[in-house]
Amino acid sequence: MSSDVRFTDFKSDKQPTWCPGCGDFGTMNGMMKALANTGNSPDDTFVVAGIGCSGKIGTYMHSYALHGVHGRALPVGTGVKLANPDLEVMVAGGDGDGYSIGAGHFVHAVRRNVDMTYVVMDNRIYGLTKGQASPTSREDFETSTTPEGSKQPPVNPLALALASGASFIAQSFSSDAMRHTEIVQKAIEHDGFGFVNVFSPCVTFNDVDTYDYFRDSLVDLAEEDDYDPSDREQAKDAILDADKEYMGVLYENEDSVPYSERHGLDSDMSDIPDGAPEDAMDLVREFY
Amino acid sequence: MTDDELIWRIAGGSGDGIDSTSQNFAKALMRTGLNVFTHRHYPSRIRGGHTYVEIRAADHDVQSRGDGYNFLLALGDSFARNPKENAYYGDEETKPLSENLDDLREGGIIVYDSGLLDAEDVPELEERAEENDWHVFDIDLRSIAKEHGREVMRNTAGVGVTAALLGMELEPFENLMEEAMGGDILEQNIEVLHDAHEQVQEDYEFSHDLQVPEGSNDEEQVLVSGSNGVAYGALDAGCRFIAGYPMTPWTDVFTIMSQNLPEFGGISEQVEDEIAAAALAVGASHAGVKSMSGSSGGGFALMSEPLGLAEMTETPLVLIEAMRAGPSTGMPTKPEQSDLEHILYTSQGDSNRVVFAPGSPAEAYEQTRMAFKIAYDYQIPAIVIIDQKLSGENRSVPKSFFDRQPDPDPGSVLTEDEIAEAAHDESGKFQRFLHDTEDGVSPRSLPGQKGGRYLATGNEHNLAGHISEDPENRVAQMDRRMQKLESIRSELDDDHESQQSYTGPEDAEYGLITWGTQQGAVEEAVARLNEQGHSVKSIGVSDLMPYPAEEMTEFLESVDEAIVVEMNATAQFRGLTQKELGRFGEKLSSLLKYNGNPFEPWEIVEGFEAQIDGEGQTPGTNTRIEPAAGD
Repeated sequence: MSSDVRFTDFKSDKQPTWCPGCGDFGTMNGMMKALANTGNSPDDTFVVAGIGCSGKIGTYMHSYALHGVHGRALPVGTGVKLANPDLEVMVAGGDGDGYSIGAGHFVHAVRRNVDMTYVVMDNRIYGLTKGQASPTSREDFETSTTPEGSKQPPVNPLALALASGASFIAQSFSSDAMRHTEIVQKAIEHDGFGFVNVFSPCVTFNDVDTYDYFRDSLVDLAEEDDYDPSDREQAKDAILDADKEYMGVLYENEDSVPYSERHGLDSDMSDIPDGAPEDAMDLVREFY
Repeated sequence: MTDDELIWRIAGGSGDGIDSTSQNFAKALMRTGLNVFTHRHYPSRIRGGHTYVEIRAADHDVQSRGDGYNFLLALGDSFARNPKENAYYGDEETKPLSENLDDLREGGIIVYDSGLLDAEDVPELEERAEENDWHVFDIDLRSIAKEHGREVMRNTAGVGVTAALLGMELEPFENLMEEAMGGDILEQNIEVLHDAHEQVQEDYEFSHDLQVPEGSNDEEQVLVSGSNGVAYGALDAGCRFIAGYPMTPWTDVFTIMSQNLPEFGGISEQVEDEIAAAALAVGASHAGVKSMSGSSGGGFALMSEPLGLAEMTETPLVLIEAMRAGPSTGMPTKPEQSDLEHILYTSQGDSNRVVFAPGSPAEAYEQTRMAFKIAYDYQIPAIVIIDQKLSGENRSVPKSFFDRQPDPDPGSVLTEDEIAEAAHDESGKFQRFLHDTEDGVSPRSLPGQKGGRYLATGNEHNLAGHISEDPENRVAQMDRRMQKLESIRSELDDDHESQQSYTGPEDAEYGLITWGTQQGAVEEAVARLNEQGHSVKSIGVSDLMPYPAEEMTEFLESVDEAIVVEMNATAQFRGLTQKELGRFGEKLSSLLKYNGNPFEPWEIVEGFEAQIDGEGQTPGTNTRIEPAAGD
């Protein structure tokens, strides 16, 4: 890893096809800056994404990348990281990808605590399919497929993560470039599964959860003097707070033990030993 | 008639130690130099229910469960009786003694535990025994077991009785017990074994002819199931990553891998579902580690999307599909070959994969290794099909068959120096998906390698992996990916021994065609048919995709008629054959079975006679003949 990596080194020459003003521009820029700030090089970085507007991020970044199946970015990223722990694995997705079709994977990726980063671009809408309700849409939000609103409470991804035993839970806002970069950076540096829910507004299909809404309503935990992110009880209260939404690191388990350490994995698996283990044939001893 | 083989059936309830006892019995026979084959029949429940295992042992080659059996050890289902009488309904408690008595050969032996089973509850047992010259022994195994140890040891008592009736030494059994247990349990079991043995010798007179045949294998043998074969093949191929989710019968492979992989420096992870399982394997493989996953029908259905992703991103991957009877949950513990079309075509778009279907544990080992080799050389998913039958069926295989030397070759991957020389686009992205390669295989870098960055995507993409809907590029990429199948077919035809298994005279008049796990029964039927004066040969097809058109054409051209023997209701392999070859419709008929039990050789013999000679009767309701087109 060289220290002279600039964040623009992570940028590909492809112009994003996101709508002008889309929150994903800011989300991606912050990710690239955070990767550069943490001393990663593009050759050692692996970006995995699913399907949707968020899924295209691998196209716009100049790292190794995989643009896979809707909802399955986390399992693919998990496989990549387990196989080559030297890679910096960054999984990106949208709210539909992560909390609807991929919700099952989210819960288990959180509890598996593999040392990687998961950035969800949460715009509370399905954008690429042109404006349907997402799992984080408000219950009265009218869309083409929910003409009277979904009449279902939105998923609280932070609570889902906390209940699943998360070791790092954060929330950021794509247009607050400095804070967003800082928060993603902390997630990368975290020893375990670093989860960041990023409010990344859709300017075309969501006229409720807008830049203005988040700018006005988000409470930055950095400005709350007595907030201690290592305190799970405080985190629980903030995450379940029905009146306010927060930005910042909501929870970080300082004693997080990542998957690799729990399983005693200390080598790169692609370095396959030349021969069989000494007693390889004995492995069939039970069948003699 | 004196049988030249022993087919010993131990029957009882799930949880009564049928598996472990039969395993030891099979090993004891194997150690005397006999060839051994085991067949497992069990219900989808943890306790109780009717379970049996058959062990066929002979000096000649044994490739199937055989026709019927000649020794029944009916242990009784302790869970049908205990903890309280009539805890289960119906005739469960007499099943170990009554079920499939029709299959007991003339002159056969019945030993039943009179401590748990009452022969009077079994209709006409006495009359039938007389009629069929069965030798029936009622022995209170339960009491013998209780006297020296615990009731569960009545399986050991049953082995002692078997040994006495068949004139077997006890020493091999003692040795196996010493290897498996110790302390009081060992001592008690040995006492039970000896007491049962002595009681029979002292208290019973017997006049049966059945004996244990003498074995002549000099070389050391190991007892290996299809699941073992797959797992050892994977380990020796250099597989170092597996992710899975439990499902019968796939769980066996997953378990063996999970227990062995850490010793090879690898990782096994049980994940939340089969989508994740296949997706983790795609990720690990993409990062350069030989990886696998697998499931049975329903779980494999969930893998459709990651499988398609592996095809489109050209990520090598090996999946195992351990079939069971479908549709839906079907019959979870019964074999069937009805997932063939599912495996060949699942996932959207034109399928682009390699499929092997081994016919025995030894082939499972070889073809799993081959699946890894092809998958990693050609950057394509390869699927190995087994089923509930092969999965748990043990056969003796010479120990030297397994070389146990892991293959570290990562397949077609460039070094960093080669990457530096390779083509990049104007922005510096590595051209991972070059069109103009000879065999369709494009240059591959691994994440982390310097200068090898590219985008892998499930979208159609250009040379550097970027999404592209350009028509010319689309056709070029599709054609290149498909070209790989032709290259693989050429390699399999030209550079390796045929994966197919042939028996019978080359100039035979008639052919039997089968695929995968019914191969053994078909081959035994072929031997018998030729002995009876028919002129028959067989081909057991193992590499299903890319379809072995040359070999199949040659086989079909050489015979007047051929019967495709497979375990499904819709003649799937016959359909594939006609689709791939576009002719021979008038020559191909089918013998189908889908009642949950594998073919027995006699059913194939009679099916052949019914179809070809028109002389035999359609063999009962268990099989069905589907005539050739125009017949």
